[in-house]
Amino acid sequence: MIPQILNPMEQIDHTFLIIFSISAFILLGISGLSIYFLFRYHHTRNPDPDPIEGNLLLEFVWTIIPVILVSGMFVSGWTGFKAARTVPVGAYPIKTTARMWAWNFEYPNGKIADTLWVPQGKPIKIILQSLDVIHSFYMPAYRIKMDALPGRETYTWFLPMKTGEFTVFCAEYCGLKHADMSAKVVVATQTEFDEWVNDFTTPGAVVATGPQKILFDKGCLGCHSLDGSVKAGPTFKGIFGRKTFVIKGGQEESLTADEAYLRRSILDPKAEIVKGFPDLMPPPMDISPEDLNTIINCLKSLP
Amino acid sequence: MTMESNHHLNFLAPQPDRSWLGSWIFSTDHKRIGILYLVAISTFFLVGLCLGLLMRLELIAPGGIIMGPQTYNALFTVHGVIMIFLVVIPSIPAVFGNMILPIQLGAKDVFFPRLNLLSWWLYMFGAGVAVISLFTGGGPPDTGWTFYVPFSTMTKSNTTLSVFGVFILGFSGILTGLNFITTVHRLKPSTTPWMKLPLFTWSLYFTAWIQVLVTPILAITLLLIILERVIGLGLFDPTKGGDPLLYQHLFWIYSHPAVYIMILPAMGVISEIVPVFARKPAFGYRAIVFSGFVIATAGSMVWAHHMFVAGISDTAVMVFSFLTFVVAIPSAIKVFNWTATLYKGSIYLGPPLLYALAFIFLFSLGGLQGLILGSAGTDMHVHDTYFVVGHFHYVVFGGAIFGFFAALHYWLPKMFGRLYNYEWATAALFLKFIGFNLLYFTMLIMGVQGMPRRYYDYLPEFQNLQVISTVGSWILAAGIIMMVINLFYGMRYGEKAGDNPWGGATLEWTVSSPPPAENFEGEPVLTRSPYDFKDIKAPHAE
Ligand SMILES: [Cu+2]
Ligand SMILES: [Cu+2]
Repeated sequence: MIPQILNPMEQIDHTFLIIFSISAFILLGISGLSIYFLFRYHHTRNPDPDPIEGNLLLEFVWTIIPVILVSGMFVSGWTGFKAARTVPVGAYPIKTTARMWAWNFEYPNGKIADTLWVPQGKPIKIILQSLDVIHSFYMPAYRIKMDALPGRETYTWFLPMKTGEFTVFCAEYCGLKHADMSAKVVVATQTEFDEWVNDFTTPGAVVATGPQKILFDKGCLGCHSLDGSVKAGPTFKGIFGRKTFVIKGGQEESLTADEAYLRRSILDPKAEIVKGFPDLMPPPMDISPEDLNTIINCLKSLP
Repeated sequence: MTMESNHHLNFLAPQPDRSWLGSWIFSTDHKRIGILYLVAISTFFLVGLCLGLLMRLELIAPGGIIMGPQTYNALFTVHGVIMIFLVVIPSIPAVFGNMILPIQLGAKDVFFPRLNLLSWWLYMFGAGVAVISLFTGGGPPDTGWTFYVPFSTMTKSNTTLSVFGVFILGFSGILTGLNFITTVHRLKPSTTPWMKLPLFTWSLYFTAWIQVLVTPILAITLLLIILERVIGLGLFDPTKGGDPLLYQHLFWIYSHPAVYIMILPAMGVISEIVPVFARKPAFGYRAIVFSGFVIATAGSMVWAHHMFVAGISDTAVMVFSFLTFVVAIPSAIKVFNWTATLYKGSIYLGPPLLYALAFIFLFSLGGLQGLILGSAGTDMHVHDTYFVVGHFHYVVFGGAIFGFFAALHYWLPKMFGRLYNYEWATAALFLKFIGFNLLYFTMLIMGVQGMPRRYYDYLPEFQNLQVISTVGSWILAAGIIMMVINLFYGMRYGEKAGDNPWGGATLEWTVSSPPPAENFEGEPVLTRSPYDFKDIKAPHAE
């Protein structure tokens, strides 16, 4: 029904323009007319009102004209929406995972990054999923928005036109750091993009096939970094055997992060809170003993 | 009015057989209950206003200024819950429906006076529970007034109790609605034809039906959140086979019609004021009544326009987008009819009319923004941004609350028998109008530029507009304070209003000001149409 080459962004901007102009015209018309009436029929100028009760023809006219106008707006708006829902064949798929309060982008070759790199001029399909609450993938530069839901896949697409840097926001309120849940979008030339996507050592990148994949899959890396930087939770860098201060039952305690501690803090994260961090971590919904062992071994092996 | 009605004490007169407090909080007189609501709702409005001012202050610069993100998230949640459930939804029906509806109809009270008092007590109880939830448990709720799952079932804040408070408030609204429907049917004098009912009465009647029909859905939805939190029911939880979208459907099946619960009564107020001050009949009385009916029915079929990007099917988006545009038509018809009522009138520019005109402008602007949101493509861009925040403040604040302000200026002189200062009223309106547009129009611009809502922090490029918006909030608040002082002072010390200061033709203007406790002696007989102003003087209309 809709030609696939239609760029949703252009169509949506077109609808904006149509609705804004018609609205401005109607608002100015009504306001102008009212002000004129207030002046012209002020009781000092028009002491005897004319008791008109109505006019059927007028009622008919000002019902029909808006019907026609809004029908046009509906069609125009729907066309833009449909375009944003109709992914061109051969679009480049990027699996996008939302969690409190970070985005991760997984490329077809297995690279995972916290920055969304895309090649210029190639349609990009964003396949969305959330690991916890509802988030929303919002890229104002391309007028697209789609909610990321737990337990259900959604999608959207866009056509990166100019190279440059843009932002993805989270548009669905998701708790404490909702406002910080943004990611950088880099539109690069195809060559630059190819170089980046095949380089697994870029900052923020995670090798999805490596032993650390479990940390990504379970959502740990949303709040715990691998490179020593402080996110919502303490970093994983050098975590095994680290001397740690925790708050336990309101009391401060010091301990060395051994295997037993790591296990406890995954299964019952509220019992001991690392000093200086908020009590945010949700207990795991369901975790198999094998997965738990894999995580612990992975943490032990980290530098 | 005459010696005869002076003989009966007015409803404000002290009741020697009861304590002062008891004569109010246990009164079944609809006028006294109206005043109880006025006091409670105004108090909550001022509280909600302060919370709004704090939020705007926090947003004056990027980063943390006066609070942390958790406090900010709690603020916009509590601001929303107070303003929606404790202020705007009850506002005009609970205050002016109670004060005016029975008199306008020609009745001595509502049909169930004691049920009416129970409604007020339920309101206070629900409000009390909501207030307690702020200071107990895991701290004030931080879910947003929409309580979206799964966040609302996971958060540690005291969401269960505040949801329960809103649950109770719902029953207050249902009972008031039931009472008004019954009152109109059973107490309308047999000599009054339906098509001679005042437009305000009609608007309350339609509103009451929406309230009775959709509020139970909210009640069930809220109960499900509580069950989800307390026993882990799993109806909305995908890991247990549930679906979070089910919650959104249930929530908006109530909350979209709730917008009409808020706006229809305000439209009724405007339909009352414009003819009186233009001294000529409401243009297209039947069209206004009929459009009210269409709004009440069609408004219940558009809820999913809040969910265009939530993951519903594309076909559903198409259908709901179309229906949303259909609902725009009856609102447009009302605006055209109000404008046409001014044509060839003999207009008095008194404060109630100026407030009504401000309503018409702000509501029209808000309604036109609704077209952007109803159109699926543009909604994808501005959904969940400041554009939506600006839009619903235009409709709910610029519409419903400005309608409430108009009603205050129109009917308080009837209730208290005294007038306020007109210059102050006009100046306060001017301040509010300027402040309002600075505050919310900037939000529309930021929304189109891509500023998401419910953000504690923002990119530096938005700061200029954020500052203008915050300054607007101060001007708006100054105007509101000025209005409150003026009304307060006027109702105590103002010039005597007389029975019919504006020259109204509906029944409430035939009784004395303040009205007698029993409203009428015997059943009043209509001698004229509600908008037939022939030979009625308007001594204070300007
Ligand atoms: Cu989010
Ligand atoms: Cu709606």
